[in-house]
Amino acid sequence: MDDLLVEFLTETSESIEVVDIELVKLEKDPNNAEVLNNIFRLVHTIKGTCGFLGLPRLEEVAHAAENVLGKYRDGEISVTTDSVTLILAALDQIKEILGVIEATQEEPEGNDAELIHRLNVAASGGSAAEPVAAVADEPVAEEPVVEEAVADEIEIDDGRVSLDELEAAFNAAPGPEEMAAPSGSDEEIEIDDGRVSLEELEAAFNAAPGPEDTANAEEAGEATSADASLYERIGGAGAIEAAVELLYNKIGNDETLKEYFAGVNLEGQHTKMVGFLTAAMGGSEEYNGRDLTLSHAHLVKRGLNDGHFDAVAGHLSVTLKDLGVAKPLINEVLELVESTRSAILAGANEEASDAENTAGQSKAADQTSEKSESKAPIVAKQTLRVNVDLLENLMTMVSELVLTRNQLLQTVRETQNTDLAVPLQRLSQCTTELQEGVMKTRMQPVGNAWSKLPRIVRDLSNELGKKIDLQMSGEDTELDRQVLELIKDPLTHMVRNSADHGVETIEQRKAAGKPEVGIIALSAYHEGGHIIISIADDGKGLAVEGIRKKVIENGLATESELDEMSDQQIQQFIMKPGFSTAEKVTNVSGRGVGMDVVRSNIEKIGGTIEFTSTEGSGTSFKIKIPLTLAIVSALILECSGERFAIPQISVIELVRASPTSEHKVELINNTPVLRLRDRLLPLVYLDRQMGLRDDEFDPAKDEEAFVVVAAVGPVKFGIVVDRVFDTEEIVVKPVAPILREISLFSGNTILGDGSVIMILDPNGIASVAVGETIEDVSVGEEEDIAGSKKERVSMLVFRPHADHVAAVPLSLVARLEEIDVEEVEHSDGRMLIQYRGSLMPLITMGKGSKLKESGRQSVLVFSDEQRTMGLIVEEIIDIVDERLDVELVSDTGGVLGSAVISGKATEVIDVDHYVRKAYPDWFGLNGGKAGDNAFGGSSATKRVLLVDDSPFFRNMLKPLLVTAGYQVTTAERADEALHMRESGSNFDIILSDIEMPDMDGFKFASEIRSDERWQDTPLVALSAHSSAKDKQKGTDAGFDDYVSKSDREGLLNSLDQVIATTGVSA
Amino acid sequence: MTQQEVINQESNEESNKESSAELVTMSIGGQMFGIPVLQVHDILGRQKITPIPLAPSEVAGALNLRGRIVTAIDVRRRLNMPPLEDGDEGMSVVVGLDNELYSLIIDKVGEVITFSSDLFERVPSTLDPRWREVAAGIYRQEEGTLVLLNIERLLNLSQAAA
Repeated sequence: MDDLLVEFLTETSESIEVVDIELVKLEKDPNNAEVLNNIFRLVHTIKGTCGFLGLPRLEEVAHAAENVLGKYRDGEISVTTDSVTLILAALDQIKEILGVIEATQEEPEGNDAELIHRLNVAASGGSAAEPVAAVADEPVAEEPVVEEAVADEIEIDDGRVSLDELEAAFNAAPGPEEMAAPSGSDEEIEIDDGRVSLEELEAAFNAAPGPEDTANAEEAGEATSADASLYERIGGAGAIEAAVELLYNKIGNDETLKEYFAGVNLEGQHTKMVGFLTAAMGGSEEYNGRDLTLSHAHLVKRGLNDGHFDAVAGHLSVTLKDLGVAKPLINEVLELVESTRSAILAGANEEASDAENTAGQSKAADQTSEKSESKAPIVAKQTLRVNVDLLENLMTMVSELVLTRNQLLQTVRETQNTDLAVPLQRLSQCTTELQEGVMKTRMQPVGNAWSKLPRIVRDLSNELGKKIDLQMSGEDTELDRQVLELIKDPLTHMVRNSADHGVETIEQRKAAGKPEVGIIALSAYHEGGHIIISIADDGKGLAVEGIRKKVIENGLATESELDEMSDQQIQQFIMKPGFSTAEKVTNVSGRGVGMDVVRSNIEKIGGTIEFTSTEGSGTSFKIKIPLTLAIVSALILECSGERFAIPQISVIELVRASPTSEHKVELINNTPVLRLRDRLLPLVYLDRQMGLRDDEFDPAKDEEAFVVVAAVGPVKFGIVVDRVFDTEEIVVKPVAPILREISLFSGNTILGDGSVIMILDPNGIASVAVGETIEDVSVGEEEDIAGSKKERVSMLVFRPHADHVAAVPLSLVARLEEIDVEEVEHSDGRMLIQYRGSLMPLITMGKGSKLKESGRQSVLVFSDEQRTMGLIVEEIIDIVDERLDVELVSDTGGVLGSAVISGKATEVIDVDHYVRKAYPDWFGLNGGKAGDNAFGGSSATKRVLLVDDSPFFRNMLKPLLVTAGYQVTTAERADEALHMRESGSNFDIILSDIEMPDMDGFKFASEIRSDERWQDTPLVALSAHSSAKDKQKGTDAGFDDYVSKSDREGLLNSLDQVIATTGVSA
Repeated sequence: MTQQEVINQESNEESNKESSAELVTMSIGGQMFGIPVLQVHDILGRQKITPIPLAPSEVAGALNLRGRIVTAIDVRRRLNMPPLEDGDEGMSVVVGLDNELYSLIIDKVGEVITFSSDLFERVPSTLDPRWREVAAGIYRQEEGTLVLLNIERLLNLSQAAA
């Protein structure tokens, strides 16, 4: 494509973008003269250039838009939404036409009469179209007004015109000196400082008799043959004179050119130009070519350059068109003029420098020998345009350089070659700086991606009848050009979503007590090697109910599955493919382009996206993307003897897991997980996932492993690898096409030692291996295990005597001891042993259990603050964590029931029973009956009412509490507890289970709170479930605190706290 | 023989307008193959190849060729032939396709031989079915038939389930 055209397209596109933004600004701030001038200037330039390049259709649209802008500027019409919309429509049209030009290098067929008409109507204050009034209305000076032009459509007369007509038209039209009064009506459009309007000229022409009508046909030069000189064809001297006159008018009114010609002898220029053109077009032989150059010399001295030349040529073109000169003729003229360009600029340079040299100033020579824009006082920018491909190549080269540098460093390290070390160090430094420098060239402010958004939001607001304010901060934050391109669309999509589905209508907002104007806030900032972009709105948030319905409708999950999920989890569904909550798919947010596409686009560039939403308050998205795609920091790890890399951005931490350390790999639902600081992390065994290893996971067999904790959005999981090396900067190279399908890898790279390794994609790992399970298990802070409502308890499994297996909650056992049978003493029919300074009774469990003859015996020691007791067992087997389900409750003293532990039926012993065997009064004088402060004991002993339907838990918790110094009363059911209330008992604190038959904990709590007797008693809930939602529910029902059943310490702490804060005493 | 002449003529017109073709010859499993010399970027000996898990079985892995990552294809596998004996390392012929480089692992590389187009034939129906898919034609020689490889089809691998 023609270079000129390419540049035109680029520049004009950019200008249009700026105008877009500025118009929206103007709309909000109509009195901002600076913005308005900026807009006007840009549109004016566009119009000019269009003219120069012979793009009439574009020019007309721009011209019409310029009219309106001019009226704004002069204050003749005010900036209204409608008129701005109209101008925006014009801009859109221009964009469209530009598009066609880019594709076909020609303007599209047709015209934009309707749009132009509307623009003109707007420019004239919006009154109804009236026939073009006579030019006579204008206070034109001396010249007799020519006619009552009646043309009510705007035609461009392409025909040739006669000399007389031209002169008539020219004379009739108001000149620059004659400032015509503003019309205020009709279709006469005065533009600024009295430049001749298209309409006026045209009107004049149309009115004037045409060539067919007059006998002047001859003079008009019917030369249709190409033989006729340009001079004749264009209409001879008259035409040229008129053209030049108009041209200089235009120049005189052109902001950028005016300066140059100020003080210049325009008359002289004028004459010379006429002479030149006449000669050039073949109308005359005599012309002193140097004249032109001479006369322009001083202009060049002032800095006349290509740009100005362009502008002048542009004006010339417009002038000729205004005069109705045929297009091919115009082109010829332009060519002529163009051919003088270099001559003028060069020749004039010569002249100028000659003149200067004699004066001895080298400064001018510098000036004139350069054509760069930086010399022009007005256009003093310190930038230059560089082809994007060039930068790409540069970037690639630098990446290669980095890699090679890495290899060299590696080699030097290995071979310990000190000679090379120093220069290599320097080379390395230079390379790094070069890398950084080149990366910077590719950096662009993120504002560029946001540039279209104000307009979009504005249009949407109008369309949807909402008031939306788009706030942007951090638009200067820079990121790689490539990345910028890739996020433009996702960002736009999200903003549209916010506007369409997020922000409510004005009425809705008013009803909700929110300010009328909704806010969509965009912000960007750097963090680590990434840029964080957030899009937040204060709209109505994501409606969980609506999402639920859609999820079920689209079969993405079942109702029961949804029931188990928290609101946040349900909201996450919007990111899944096949989802859309729009009631009707609107034009605005599009069809089928869901958030899942947005997410995958973002993830493709190595970024992550997460969001939070609160119904009623709004939604906020957070996107995290690497600053650059080419070079990333990656962790090198080893798996099955092969090395791999994983991008640093996805790695949260590294954990070493072994059977002996606190971080153990466990199996839940046959899924290996890692317990990490109260969270359960689902695990992926990389070697197995890659097919490098076949066998099933067996925690007992595997030894220590390294777990790379990775995050994909909000979801965390662990990748089990054999070894971890270090972090390196690697250059990401895309995988070969045949390997693209493998979702596990996002690329490959060459390490410093020359070996090729694959780069892992955490998303791919997550999706391939574990899929849904990861989300089930790891979302949220709690230890909730999918599908399990029971607590996991550490049980000590032992053998009381041969062939018998029993278990006891580990938390109840103080110590495991081995005693020397010899040391056991017998007294009063009981066995005792001296233990830590006091006597400890020893109890056997049932028949068949007895002390050994000799040697050592295992003993389970139970104790509270003062007393200890030892339970004799034959062998301690194991400690296991199990979900405890005590079935088959037993009547036998000493046995609570049976449970399946480690796959075997095991008796769960009743500690209570044995402890009482040793000390009948272990649990206090009351023996656990309800009552008032009966033993008149110290008020320091707080009374606890424990309500729990599970005998197991009652039995487990009671000793715990007693040991801690509380006096414990138990109730099996809520109504039993309420019964106690009836009989007048009082307690210092009530502990209640939630999941109980008949009346559950919540109801119990409300019941208590509603009655004055126990109203002020601190109430603590015990439960297996401790999600935020449950806690909230608990608080709502009246609980002061909410504790997990298995959290022994937490329970005691909570009791202390609650009592302390409420300070209740009997 | 008239028919043969006609066939020859046609194939002459079809194939390169030149009257001869320069091929890099190689052998795989005793069969001779050829690749137009202009399509061959490199000939390599033994290489350190990084295996790529989950890749199609024909992909032997990736290797580093002067800073470029090249995908290594085990041609024996591709042609459903038994693998090389242990100890025999094979050689590689590097070709390019769509701006990507591929290293074809074959048994042995022969010489660059110029074949007269007269000897070119279209793929006969009697050709071993294993080569039929990847053959662009054959050259008849006294020593035997040489199969001209169509690189594009050779690199069109079945996608293994990831």
